[in-house]
Amino acid sequence: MYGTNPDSTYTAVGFHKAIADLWDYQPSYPYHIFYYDNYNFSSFQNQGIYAPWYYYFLSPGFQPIQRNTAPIPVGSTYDLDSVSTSGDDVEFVNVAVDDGTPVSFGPGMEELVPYKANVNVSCGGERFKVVIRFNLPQYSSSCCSAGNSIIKPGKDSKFELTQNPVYGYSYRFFPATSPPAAPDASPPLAVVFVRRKADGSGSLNTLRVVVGGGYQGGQSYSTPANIHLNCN
Amino acid sequence: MKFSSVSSLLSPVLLAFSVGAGIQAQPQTQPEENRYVVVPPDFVFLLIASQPGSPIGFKDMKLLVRIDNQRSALSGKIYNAGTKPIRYVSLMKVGSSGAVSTLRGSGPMSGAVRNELLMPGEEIQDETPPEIVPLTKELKEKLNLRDGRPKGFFVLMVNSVVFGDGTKYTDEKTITPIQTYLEALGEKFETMEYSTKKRPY
Repeated sequence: MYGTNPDSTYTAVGFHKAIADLWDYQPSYPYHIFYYDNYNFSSFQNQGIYAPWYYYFLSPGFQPIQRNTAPIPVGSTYDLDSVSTSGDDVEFVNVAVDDGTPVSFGPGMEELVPYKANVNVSCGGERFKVVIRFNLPQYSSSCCSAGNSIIKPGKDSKFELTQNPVYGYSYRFFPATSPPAAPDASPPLAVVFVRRKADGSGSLNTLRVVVGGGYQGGQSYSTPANIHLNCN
Repeated sequence: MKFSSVSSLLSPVLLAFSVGAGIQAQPQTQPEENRYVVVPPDFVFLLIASQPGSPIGFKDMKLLVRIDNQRSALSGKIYNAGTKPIRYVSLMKVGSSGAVSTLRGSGPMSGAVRNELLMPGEEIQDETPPEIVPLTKELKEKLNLRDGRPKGFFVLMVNSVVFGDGTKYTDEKTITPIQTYLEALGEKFETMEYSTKKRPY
């Protein structure tokens, strides 16, 4: 202080600012965030105090956070860019043959369809059952009617659909309908009965599944997938 | 004792603390569910149909595959290129196999009932934009994105648009012939492709 008078009392006015670095976090309950005092401000050795030099605060948990604005360094220019992502409406999950282990779907990019899967089937029997599970889009209000959903062998297929004598259908989507012995339909599924053509004709092994429906907003949706039936 | 350097002390203390309290000093990683690579055009390429009068514009559209090989997607700028506010947008892509797929996205593409409008010039904003990572040799092999002759293509089209005033844009004159043509092409291609291959059974 400069230019003070004796016998006067002065009050110093200043501010204190905590400087700490985020170094750690605890990614499980109770979700603490740790800050470390790299500048040694919290160490008062002459008073016999050496700690704490870290602090932890409760965090609401780790979740995606989006900045309202990106940090803009002084003197720099700033350009904003964005993209939208569009995925296919229906997500095909897996396919199982005759209640065997389900096989996951993957992208069918090289076959120009959103999803594809390869499964092994027994071609010698009377028929086999194929169960296809899928997830409907979040705002779906209806699905799987005869007008928008279908299962069919590809052209020149070695396989054909065959009606199950007990259930009375060759394929059906659930839970759109409730025939006898309706399976657990969460997530939704389709059941199809298939057999190798008796005359041995055909050269291809693709089964095409199309799941369609309508949105709450009124638009329709449709997503196809290919299933390849490989004879054991 | 005076700490001559905090950093000289931090490492051992941190290590002890980490072990004792179960703290994991690891960087937060982006979930694999939002990491994609761009599909190279020498594998499969993307075309955008010419739809004169379409109120939806596209820019920098790319085909993507998620790095866990679970799904594919499209990314780019999708915006209101018309003069009227838009409430709902439905896009579709048709593969050269003839397979037709509609696309889901944010805002007017979500399928939800909504009051908000996409104003002229405004882009559809993605709530969770994808992280696009480089297509390394390892990812190429993992995702089976082999080089060579392209396998085919996708055509991106505007299926329908509902405006704020309730009127609707559709373009059956473009969509139907493209769809019909690609279905026929897909059948020919499939037959040719498989008849020249040795089948394992």
